[in-house]
Amino acid sequence: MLEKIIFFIFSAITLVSAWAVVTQRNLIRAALCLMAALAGVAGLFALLEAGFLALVQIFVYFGGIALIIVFAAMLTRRVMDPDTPQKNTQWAASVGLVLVLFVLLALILWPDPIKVLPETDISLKWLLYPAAIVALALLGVEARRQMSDADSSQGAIGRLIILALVIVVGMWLVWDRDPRLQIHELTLGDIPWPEREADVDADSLTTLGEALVDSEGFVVPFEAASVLLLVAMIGAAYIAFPSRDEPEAEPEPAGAELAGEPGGEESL
Amino acid sequence: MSVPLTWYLLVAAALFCIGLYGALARRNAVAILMGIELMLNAVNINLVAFWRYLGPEKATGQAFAIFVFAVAAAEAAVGLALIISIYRNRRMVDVENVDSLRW
Repeated sequence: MLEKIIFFIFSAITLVSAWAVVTQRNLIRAALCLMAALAGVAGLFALLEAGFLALVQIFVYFGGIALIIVFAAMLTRRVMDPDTPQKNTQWAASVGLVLVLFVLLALILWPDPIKVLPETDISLKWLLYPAAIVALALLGVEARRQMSDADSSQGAIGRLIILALVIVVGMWLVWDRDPRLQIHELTLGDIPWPEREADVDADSLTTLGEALVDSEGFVVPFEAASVLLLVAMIGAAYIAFPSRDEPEAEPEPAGAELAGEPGGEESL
Repeated sequence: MSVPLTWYLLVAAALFCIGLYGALARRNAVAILMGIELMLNAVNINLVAFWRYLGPEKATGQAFAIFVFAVAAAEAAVGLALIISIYRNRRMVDVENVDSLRW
């Protein structure tokens, strides 16, 4: 019971912060919410008894990735006015696509039909109806707006048609299998979801470390990942440094931005 | 009784969908990167949950989660370098205006 409570707390932290990340207009706050979401995920890892991964999550994501995202947000924050809308023109279609994707995933994952009321046929799967209707309505609004737009390209309309097709095919995948909406036949058949088995070995970290450098295990992907990191580091440094051939397009000296203090940009 | 596997998968699905929405619908390139990070984290929750419930005696799930960490770090570094470069050249990070390669 305690485990479930802790699970709910960490899930709530993760999901609420993630929602704030994608909706928050102020980019610095969004970055801080991202850190909270990553901390929630670390908590979930700890709950799954993957202590090493929880620590790696804190060190690498929290201390590394989230920090450089905060740096980037601060370096570029003056060009994005927080008062302007942060959503692009296809946000409505995105909401539709994401809604349908989530309901589909939830239906596939659910172990058995969930009855909203006992002794009835009304199950949670009927959520798919309103989700699909909302999605299609949003798509219609978006298509109408794009068609009335003078400089709308054919590509935008084509994208919307593809999105609508994805939604319709997804609905058909769920719907046409069985009139009673036994969706788990689609995915799992009669296989029940596994229960948690025996405890994790005390030396699971040793197993992991040995598997990473074992020629029978993961040594090739391990080396490939190290090469990838090296290449990404060199490439990032090469891209981010100002090129010496071109004259500086900006008045301030090169590297001033990297120092975190973009001075003299108030007019922008 | 412990937490069922399905709950972890549902949380991961929700996190993935939120991240996907962020990646699709934001205008700021840094915010798009944040959405991608959320999606990668959702994948990691799935990997670790399956490792815990299906094969805690093997190292497979954790090993793949570590590779996802490495790829996420590389992706964040390169993506942010690109954003800094775009910002330096064009003084903005709005992806809707970075369309030189569009035809």
